[in-house]
Amino acid sequence: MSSKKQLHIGIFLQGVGHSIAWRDPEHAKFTEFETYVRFAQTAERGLIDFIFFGEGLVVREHREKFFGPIVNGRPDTLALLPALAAYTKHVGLAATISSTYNEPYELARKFASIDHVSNGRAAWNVVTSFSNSVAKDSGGDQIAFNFSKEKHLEHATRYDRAREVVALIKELWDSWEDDAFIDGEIQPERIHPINHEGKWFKVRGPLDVPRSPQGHPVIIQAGQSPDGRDLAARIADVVFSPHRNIDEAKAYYDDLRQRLIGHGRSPDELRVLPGLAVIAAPTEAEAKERAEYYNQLLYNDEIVRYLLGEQSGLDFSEVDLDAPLPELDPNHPNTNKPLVESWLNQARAHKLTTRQIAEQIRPRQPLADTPVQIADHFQHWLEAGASDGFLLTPIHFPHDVEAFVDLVVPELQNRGLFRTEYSGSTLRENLGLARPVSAWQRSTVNGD
Amino acid sequence: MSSLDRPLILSTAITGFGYYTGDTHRAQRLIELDHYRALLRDAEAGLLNFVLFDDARSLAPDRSFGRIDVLSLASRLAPESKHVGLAISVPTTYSEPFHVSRELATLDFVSHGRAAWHVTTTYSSDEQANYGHAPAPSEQDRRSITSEFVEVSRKLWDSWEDDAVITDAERGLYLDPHKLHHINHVGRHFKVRGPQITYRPPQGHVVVIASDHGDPGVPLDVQVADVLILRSRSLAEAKQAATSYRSAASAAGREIRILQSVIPILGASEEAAQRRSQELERSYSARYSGPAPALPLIGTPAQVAGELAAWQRAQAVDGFHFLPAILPDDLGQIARELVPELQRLGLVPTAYRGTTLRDQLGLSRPISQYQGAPSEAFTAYQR
Ligand SMILES: Cc1cc2nc3c(=O)[nH]c(=O)nc-3n(C[C@H](O)[C@H](O)[C@H](O)COP(=O)(O)O)c2cc1C
Repeated sequence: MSSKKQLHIGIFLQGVGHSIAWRDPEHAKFTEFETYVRFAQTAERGLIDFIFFGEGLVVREHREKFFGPIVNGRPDTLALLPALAAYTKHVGLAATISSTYNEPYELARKFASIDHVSNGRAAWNVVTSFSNSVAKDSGGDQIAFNFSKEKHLEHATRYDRAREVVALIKELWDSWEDDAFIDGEIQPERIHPINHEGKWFKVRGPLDVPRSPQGHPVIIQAGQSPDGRDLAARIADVVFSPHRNIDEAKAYYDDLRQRLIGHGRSPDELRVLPGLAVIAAPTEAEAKERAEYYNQLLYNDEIVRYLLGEQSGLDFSEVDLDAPLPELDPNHPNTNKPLVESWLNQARAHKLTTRQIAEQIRPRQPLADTPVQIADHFQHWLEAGASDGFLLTPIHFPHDVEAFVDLVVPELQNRGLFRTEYSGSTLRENLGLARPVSAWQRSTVNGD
Repeated sequence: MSSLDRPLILSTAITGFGYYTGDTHRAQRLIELDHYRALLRDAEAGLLNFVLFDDARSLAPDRSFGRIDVLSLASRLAPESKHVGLAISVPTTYSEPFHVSRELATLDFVSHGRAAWHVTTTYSSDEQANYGHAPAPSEQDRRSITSEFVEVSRKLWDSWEDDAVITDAERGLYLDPHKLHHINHVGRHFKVRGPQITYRPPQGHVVVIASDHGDPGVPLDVQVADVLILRSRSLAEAKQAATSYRSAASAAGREIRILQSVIPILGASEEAAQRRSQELERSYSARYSGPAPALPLIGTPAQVAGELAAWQRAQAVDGFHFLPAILPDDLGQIARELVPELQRLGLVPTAYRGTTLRDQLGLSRPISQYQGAPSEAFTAYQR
């Protein structure tokens, strides 16, 4: 038997910023703890690598008003994941946390601790807190206003800070040698200060939490910009990408591989997982029907107007969607000027209605199909070197997750493309990633 | 006469190896779940109202132990316990109210209303060195930061009214937009717009605890805390302090509970307890200078229960915060030997009452300060 390359799969419970599928009476309630337990357990039943939660540090709003139809609010992930660890044994537990609004010492001890209490299942998706739009609504400076600051940092500055935050946190995770305990007794000489003095931070260390089961919790990154890709190539074990087109996905993967080599890493130290919404059903017709049902839930006129407004910073509440795009003012305060200008140009050139313009900000269409066809898609991307698997972004919980686990996972297993049991004891092992050797161990080995 | 309409509140500290730090063998147990699992089991066997997890932000200078962040610990063990309140120590000095209040709200969510926040500050030079700040803010500033930090946290807990999420499919409303509020807080130390990004905690406000544990930067203030933990040296001193806190609370219209810290040192006979106490003192003074960290109560379980009953009769305090001399041994003894004596005296119930920690402490669930208020616009923040 050949040891075939296998897929790695994560599942994202989106809630905020996405799901209007809450309108379906069978959708689980995001306000109940049991929903999260069920999510984690369903993923684990499907032998999924990890579950994943996002973070946005501001409630979505537009023109100073909250918007009732979309989901807002979610539990704090750092406080949620340890509790979910109590209900599961194998599935990885990934939290999105901003490198822009946190102290490194604080994050180092929190992630190391989650790794301890979950026996090596913690992962951190490092984000710099992107803003939804250049417009002020739901992003940018409004995040800063929750943290006694006047301005969100600029993109490049955020990534500069992120580079130092993650490097520093890895030093803190290494400040205890792996064998700092012998037969349970502490060995103080195997715990070391880090004496970090950088551009952003001055941290002496050592961490007060011992080195955790994975050495370093798994690091996830999802940057698309050159700065974002550079950060991923330096620090990431897993990368999420937004690509739906296989050529773009492959180009992205190849670019990351080159960058990895540039940072002295081996290209197979990285798992690239594009985000993908999958709707599986026994027949194609059922899957398409379900996708169409979601479309209706997700995309009524009120929501279209809201999304147009939120993205542009302008007021669309009175706009007739089926009339030509009205004359918008790109210079109105707090407006996303490049976006509005591009809409205006397109509408003029092609005589588009507002509804046609709105197609551009419509969530991407899910992959709605039979288990065989979905498995074909996964296999094709894996074999083409376009990805190492996928990050599933279900529209409906529990339906989409259960359908994937019950229908698609067995098909992938039959093809030898997915595990039939968790083989590793940590998330790193399940992802096929090595446990980082600490700086102290390296120096001992070299010294011998 | 039974006093079970106002039973004594009982809680325990979970601090490293215990308050006398005699036995530091197998320091690795302090990062093992089984250690804490056993402590919680003892606490629930003794029907304690809450356990208070200690924490810090640096390694002890002698590097004699490591620890796990108490948020992770409490959240991980919440599903394995049913009744006991989970109080975590979270400092206010180099943290953000937006993060801390949310973490606590979610601890309350995963424990179905059993979370409490022991407000602490970061002040040792070892801790500062990990946050790049030197020197730490003065005692007065730390108290002022803490007071405002808690005020902001309470506003953020209130920024979602209880029933903000309505999932009304017919009207197409996931939430009622009028039940979310910008808090527009502008104070001396913090400027926070809000609202929070998670729901109001099940208890409305997580229970806030301020304790006298040697840090003068913590405000023992009835405006800040719901529970004050004293470290008085005598009943008379405790009673005097409690009386003044109670009158301040009633003037401010605040409900508070006052606990006295005690270190029970139990023995099968009075002599055995005295012998144990001397041993503990010897090992303690070998490591630290100064007196015991709180009031020791030495004797048989019945004798110590009798002393606590005397405090209760004098209406000095609402309950006791136990500082177990050595962990895990002394917590087990407190739960299995001292609590049954208190039950025999009718001072504590024989089963848990109430589901949330607030229920257990007899504290009412606060109504959101924004209930019925219009959502304030952004401009209010900029003023
Ligand atoms: C699948 C996926 C999930 C993401 N989740 C979050 C998130 O929860 N919070 C966040 O601030 N950014 C999130 N991002 C955004 C990325 O962190 C990143 O900012 C974005 O891809 C743009 O790249 P750039 O930052 O390099 O410009 C996500 C991106 C992807 C592809």
